[in-house]
Order: sequence, then structure tokens, then C-alpha cells
Amino acid sequence: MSSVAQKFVCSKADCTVATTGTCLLGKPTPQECEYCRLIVTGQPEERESEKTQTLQDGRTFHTGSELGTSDMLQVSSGSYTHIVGLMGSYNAGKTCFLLSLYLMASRQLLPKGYLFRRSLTLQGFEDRARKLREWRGGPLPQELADHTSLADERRPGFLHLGIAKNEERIDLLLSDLPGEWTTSLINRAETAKRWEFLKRADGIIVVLDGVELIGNNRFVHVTDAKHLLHRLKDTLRIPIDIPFVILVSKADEIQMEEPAVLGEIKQSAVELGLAPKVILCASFSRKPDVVPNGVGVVDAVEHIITGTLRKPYINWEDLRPDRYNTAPTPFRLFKTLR
Amino acid sequence: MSNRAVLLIGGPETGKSNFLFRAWTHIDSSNGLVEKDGLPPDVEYLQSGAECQLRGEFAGHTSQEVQMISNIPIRLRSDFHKKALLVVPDIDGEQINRIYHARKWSYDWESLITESTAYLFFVRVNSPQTIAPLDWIACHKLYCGTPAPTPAADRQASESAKIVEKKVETPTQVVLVDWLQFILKAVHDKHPQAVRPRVGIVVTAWDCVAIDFQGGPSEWVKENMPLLHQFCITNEEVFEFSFFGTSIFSGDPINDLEFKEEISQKDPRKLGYIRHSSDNRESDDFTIPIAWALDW
Repeated sequence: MSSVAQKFVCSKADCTVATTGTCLLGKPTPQECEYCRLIVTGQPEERESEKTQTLQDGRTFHTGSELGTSDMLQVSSGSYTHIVGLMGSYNAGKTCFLLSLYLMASRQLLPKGYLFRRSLTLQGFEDRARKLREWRGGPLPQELADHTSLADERRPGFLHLGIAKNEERIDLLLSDLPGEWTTSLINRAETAKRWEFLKRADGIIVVLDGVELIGNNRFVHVTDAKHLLHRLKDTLRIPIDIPFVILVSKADEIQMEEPAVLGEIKQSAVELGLAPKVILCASFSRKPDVVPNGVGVVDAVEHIITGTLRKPYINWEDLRPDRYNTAPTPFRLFKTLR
Repeated sequence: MSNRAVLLIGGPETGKSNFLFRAWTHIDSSNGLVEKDGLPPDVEYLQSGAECQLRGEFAGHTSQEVQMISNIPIRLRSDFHKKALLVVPDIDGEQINRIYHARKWSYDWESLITESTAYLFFVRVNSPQTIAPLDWIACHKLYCGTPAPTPAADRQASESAKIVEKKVETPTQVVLVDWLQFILKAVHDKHPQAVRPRVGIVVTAWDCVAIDFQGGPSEWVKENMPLLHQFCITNEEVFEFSFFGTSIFSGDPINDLEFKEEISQKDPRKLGYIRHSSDNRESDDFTIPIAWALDW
């Protein structure tokens, strides 16, 4: 507690304004008395310290790195916010997907009609693009961040990208979570709690490594993917009408051809009541002359934004027409889920 | 004194000071849209910069130690009742980047952001201090250049290396967009009612633009800082934007000795120009961006 105080002193003899606050000459307030003056008591260094403190207050802004669940609320005010759950094992291509989307936005390479509008995580995108915000050594974080601070290392949270689609304003909150969280969900139902935000998400993108899906371990990946779908449906009980994308990454390395084993994964999703949209994606193409950078990225986002199925890759409407014409699950107050 | 103000904001070596000195020459001699409304409290800084330009030279980089503040009382020459303050914060350009990274500004800065403040942001053509936007090639090298290590090996490597903090600069367009988002947040927190600040983007050293470049300042920003340009287009409901190009001498007396010799025979006050994106016409009145910012 500071000892700094203000008091009046008077040059008139016998005036007690300093102790009583009452002017000897009967002025309504001491300020109105010509003999009175205000002095500040207390240590000079204390006064200086208070001044410094006031100057230091200023204003602090969002960290710019990633958003925790509390931070997300500042995005959701003012426009409709689409929460997108991005899932996939380590090295499946989740971060590349996020960065490819950002790169297209930052270089004005989004499809016609789309423009960058705002982002509260610009530095987060930049740091990830330069591999300066990696998951550090030691145990991975086990929970979604509530609130991020400047000193934090990479934490499970959301990246924000506000875009304009013609006259429409769209805010995307894309989850950025360790691949191990997806693997843990497959292996242990008890880890499902941290994925509960998916129940209120506007879309889910499951990223599968295209190269792995044609490799020696392809059937292992098929089994994992099918188990993941079961977890989503049975354990997390995601709404079956949620826009659901199976994103085959690194498609430039597999000649943009759907891996043969994908049919089994799609069939499994359909049997669970989901309406999967398969998209072949090359976030960063190794052959940009043949397969442009970013192929499939906006398709995935657009599928979630529109909440409808499109036909270029697969026509599942014929199988379950009654389930596809619903709007995206509304974003509700995220904090209530925690 | 009116509480209307124009704030000049620019990173290191963006031409902010040279614009100010050149504008001051017009303001001081009352031959532009805007003139002085009395002498500023500290005129030495302005005069020494202006004198530099009158000798046909660019004014030097503002020293970090000598942080001058310029509060120039101004008024519209055709209507003396329209008054404002031209404010150049007492900071060096580097502080723009420091505030960006610290995500925090001081009380002094906060007090400059009012509902009556307009802003002129400066970027410079071919500035070595301008950090280019990310590109596909850089990301490709980082993410596709070598096979990704296994999680365990990756963690081990990163732990042992402790990832030395690299000094990687953030692209200029990202810094500027976040600065505009900072301002928007501050303005709307303090004034929830509709306030739509005016923001001018001033592209300095316009004479350095490639000869075959056909567009104006807006097109230049679109080509070189596409994130910033998109932000300007999609945030028209919260900011009012305009683009300007400026050249102090219509050439470069530092790197072009022939030009230096040429302008030594001329009146420097009659050199240089302002180009406004609204009509892409040139004018020799350097107070035009200030007048626009104040809606005069």
C-alpha cells in the first residue's frame, strides 16, 4: 500500500484546513481559498513508482500465437464462427494444411470471391510456417489451453482466420492439436474428454497420409482410421450430420489418385451414419507444375462452410439422402463445455 | 485547440520523417491545403530535417537516442476554423516492431488513440527493412525438403538442441495488419459507438517503383503486401482507407549521382510529388494525405 496522500495547507495563521478540511475564511471548499494550496505527501520515489505504474498500464493485446478456449470468445462476438476440428496422427499433414490455407490467404491466392479479412493468430501462423513453434520435448500438453500468454510455448488451441466470401464474413477457428491426441483417442476412450469440443464443432477434417495409404502399412492405417471413426461416433457422439471431410494429404506424391484402401474407410464412415466427403489434398506440392500448391485445402474449408456435399470426388447422396441437407451445427458458448 | 489529430506511423526507414519534413515545408510556407496554426513547441527538429532536403539530400535515420516528438498545430488554409494536430510519436521506427512483438503499448500510446484520430501508415518501395511475405518455396523447403523424423527422434533432437531462439523477422505486412487490429480494438473498446477512423497507406520512394509497373499505390500494395491490401478491402466498414504514393525529389540523389548533380541546379521545393490512388493524379502538395486523413 502506498503512503502517498494529498492534503491542503494554508498560509493563514490558525487555519486548521490541513487537519479538518474546513477553511478558516469560510470558503465552501479549500480550493477556492487564495491562501490554500494542495500538496502531495509521501516519498518521492513512491510517487515516481506510482507514475511509472500508470504509464506501464497501457494496453495489452491478444498474444497472436494461438487461442485458448477463453480467448475464443473474443472472436465469436460479431460474426458467425465456424469451429473446425482437425484430426490426424503425427506427420499426417495437419500443420501443412493450416499453413497452406494461411499462405493462400496471405498472398491473395484464395479462389475468386474469397479474401483475407482478419486474424488474431497471425504470428502463430508465421511461427509455425518457420518451424519456430513446434511441440517441444518432454510430455505433451494434455488439455486444451484455456488462455494463452506471450511466454507460452505451443499449446493445444485454435488458429483463427477471418475471411470474406463475397459479402459474407466467415471466421474459422481451426484446432491445432498434437497428432498424439488422435492416436490416444483411438487407443484409449478415457482421453476422449479433451475432444468434447467436437460435439459443437461445425465440421471435422480427418487428415490421412496419402503416401502411407499406399505403403506397406496401409492396412494398419485403415484399421486406425476405422477405429477413429468409431470413437467419434460411439464415444464422442458427434452429430452424424456434421460436415465431415476425409482429407488425403500429400496427394501430389500419389498422382492425385485415391488410394484403393480408402473405399473401406469411407464405407465404414457411411455405415456409422456419417456423410464423408473425400478430398485429395496437396498442401505443399512437390510438383507444383503438375499439382498446384494448396489443392484441396479450400475445398475442405468450403465443404464445412457451406455444410453441404459437393460432387467432384464422390456422390454419397444416393446412399443416405435424408441426412445431408442440414445446416452446420450452431456454434454455442464454448465455455459451457469445459 | 482541436482534439483532432493525425498520427504518423512507420517502421524503420519507411520514409516517415522525410515525408514529415517535406510536408512541414509546405505547412510552414502556407502553399498547400494545410498550413500551420502557430509554431510547434519544438521546431528545431523539423527545421533541420527540412534544411537537409532543401540542400537536395534526404534527412538521416532518426536516432534511437534522440527521440523527438513533433506536435504540429495545423489548420485548413481555406477555412481557419478547421484545426487539428499533426502528431509524430516520440519513437523510432524500431518501436513499431517492438510493440508488435510485445503485444502491448504504453499509456502514452493509448492516449493517442481517440475517436478523432486519423492515421498515416508508411511503407517504402525497395526498403531493405521491408520483410517480404512468406512464400511457397520457403515453406516447401521447411516442410517437404527432408523426410520428417519420427516423433521420438524429433523430440530428442529438439530437446538436446533446445532450439536456439532464432531472430526471424515477421513480414512487414503482418506487422501492419496486426497494428491496424490493435488500433481497431483500442478504438472500439473506448468508443463502442460507430467510429470509422481514416487510415492512409503512404507508399514512399514512389520513384523507385519499376518502370513497367502500370498501377498506382493501391495496386503496388496489392502486389507487394497482399495481406494488407485484402485487409483494407474487407474492413471498409470499420476503417476508411486510401492509398498514396510519394517521392521527395522524383529521383534518388543518394544512388544516382547524375540525378544529384541535376537537382543541385533546381529548387528542391518544386521537386517531388504525391500520387493519390483515388484519381491516380500527381500533385506537388505534400499536405494532401494529411488533409484527406482529416476529411478536409
